[in-house]
Amino acid sequence: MTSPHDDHSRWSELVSGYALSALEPEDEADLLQHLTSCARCTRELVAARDVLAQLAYAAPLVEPPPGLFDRIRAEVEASSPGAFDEPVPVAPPAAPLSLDEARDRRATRRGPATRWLSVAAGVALAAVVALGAWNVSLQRDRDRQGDISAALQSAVSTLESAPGQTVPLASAKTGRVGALAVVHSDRISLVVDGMRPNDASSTTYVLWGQDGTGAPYGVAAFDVDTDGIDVIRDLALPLAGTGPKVPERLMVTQEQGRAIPASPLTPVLMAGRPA
Amino acid sequence: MTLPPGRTSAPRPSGGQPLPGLSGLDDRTLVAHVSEGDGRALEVLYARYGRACYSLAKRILVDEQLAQDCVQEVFLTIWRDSSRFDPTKGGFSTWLLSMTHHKAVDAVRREETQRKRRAAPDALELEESDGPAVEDEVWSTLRGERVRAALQSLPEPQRHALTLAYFGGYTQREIAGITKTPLGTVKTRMLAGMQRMKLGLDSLSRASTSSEIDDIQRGLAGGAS
Repeated sequence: MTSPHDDHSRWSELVSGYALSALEPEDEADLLQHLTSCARCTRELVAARDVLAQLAYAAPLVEPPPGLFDRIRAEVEASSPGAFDEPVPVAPPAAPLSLDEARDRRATRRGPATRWLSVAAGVALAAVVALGAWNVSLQRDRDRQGDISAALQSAVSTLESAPGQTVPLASAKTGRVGALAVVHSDRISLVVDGMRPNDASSTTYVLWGQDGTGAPYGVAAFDVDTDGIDVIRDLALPLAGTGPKVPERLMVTQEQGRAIPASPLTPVLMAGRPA
Repeated sequence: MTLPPGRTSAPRPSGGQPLPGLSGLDDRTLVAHVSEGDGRALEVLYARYGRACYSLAKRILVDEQLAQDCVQEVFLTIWRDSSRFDPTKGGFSTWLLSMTHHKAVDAVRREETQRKRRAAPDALELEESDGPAVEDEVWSTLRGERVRAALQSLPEPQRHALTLAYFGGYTQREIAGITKTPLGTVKTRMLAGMQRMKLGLDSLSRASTSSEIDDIQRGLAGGAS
């Protein structure tokens, strides 16, 4: 009878072979199936890959030919114009929509239309975006912003509220303006266009503020129910000293859970700067 | 050269200057930037790891053009699908070099003629870099020497099994044929070789984050100055 130890030696051998890309197809198929249910082998594979990453440095160091990254850059720019700070094209505007044609949701339906206090720190996660990264992103906001779609402009124009400042929030990746923040002295409303609806049981969109080069702070959490035009009204601005303060920069991320984390844990989806 | 604390040495991009701002960020943050569509973050990652990737690819593929194609494919994969990097399963450099190895082995298996030229185990003996160790290569040179020493300390059958697989792109069955040993013996030698390498490289294997590498770099810089 084969002992459990013998069985696992066989798998450990396959893990080594797999890390080395040296398995025959049938062995690889067996191991991949096994890995779906064996945490031990998964840990061994991680350890084996760490060893082999060091082995890579046993090869003589050779400088890549000049121009190799230029080829990579050309490929990147072919599929993602503007990736290296070049102007990006924008999609043609959609047909104008009135606000009656869009869903108008009050923030109170999902929860209090007040600022959600940030979760206490102690979340021992390595920050996905360090403070330096936030500051680097600042200078890209204006470089990347495309035109505002007619749909968004039309939706904002029909908002019944006191005049406020309209702030385009543009995609960090494409420059497309995906939302307009209507900023008043004490509150912000968001008109979004084409944001992916989130699973309201497990994720939330978060509107962040940032002043200068300081750390981002949570302004409000919100949900998106439709991938068309959606309106989130009356998100309270954070209080600072004498009263509500309009952040110098606004950003949107989508976070796991239903609370605003102490700092953004996922890449910025959109950003913009009030004047 | 004394490295600034908390920063990974960033070799100059090929033909360019260090990118201000981004070059001080850790790998995970740079990957996050890449996922946001920031091509400059990809350039910093290339400056940081492009040489290691190209060196590995060229060692396996021999042909310069094939090695360039391999590196290009690796970095475009990072650009197009950075979500494939799972930080819970190891550091970015491990993931990157694993991907480089995998793509290079795939390519060498497609290029059968390249492999046939390198069938003899002694053709896979690892020679040291010919160029002088300039200041910003101290870390890589020292690490390479240490890794080569660990590899040389392995019993010859284990070392051959590892080098034929890792640098030659041979499968276990092919290695069994080359070395005229049973397939089961090859599998055992590979596992034993990997385990001995891990013991010998423990301090370097744990340095899977930039901050840990920085600590080692600072220690080396302090000893070398």
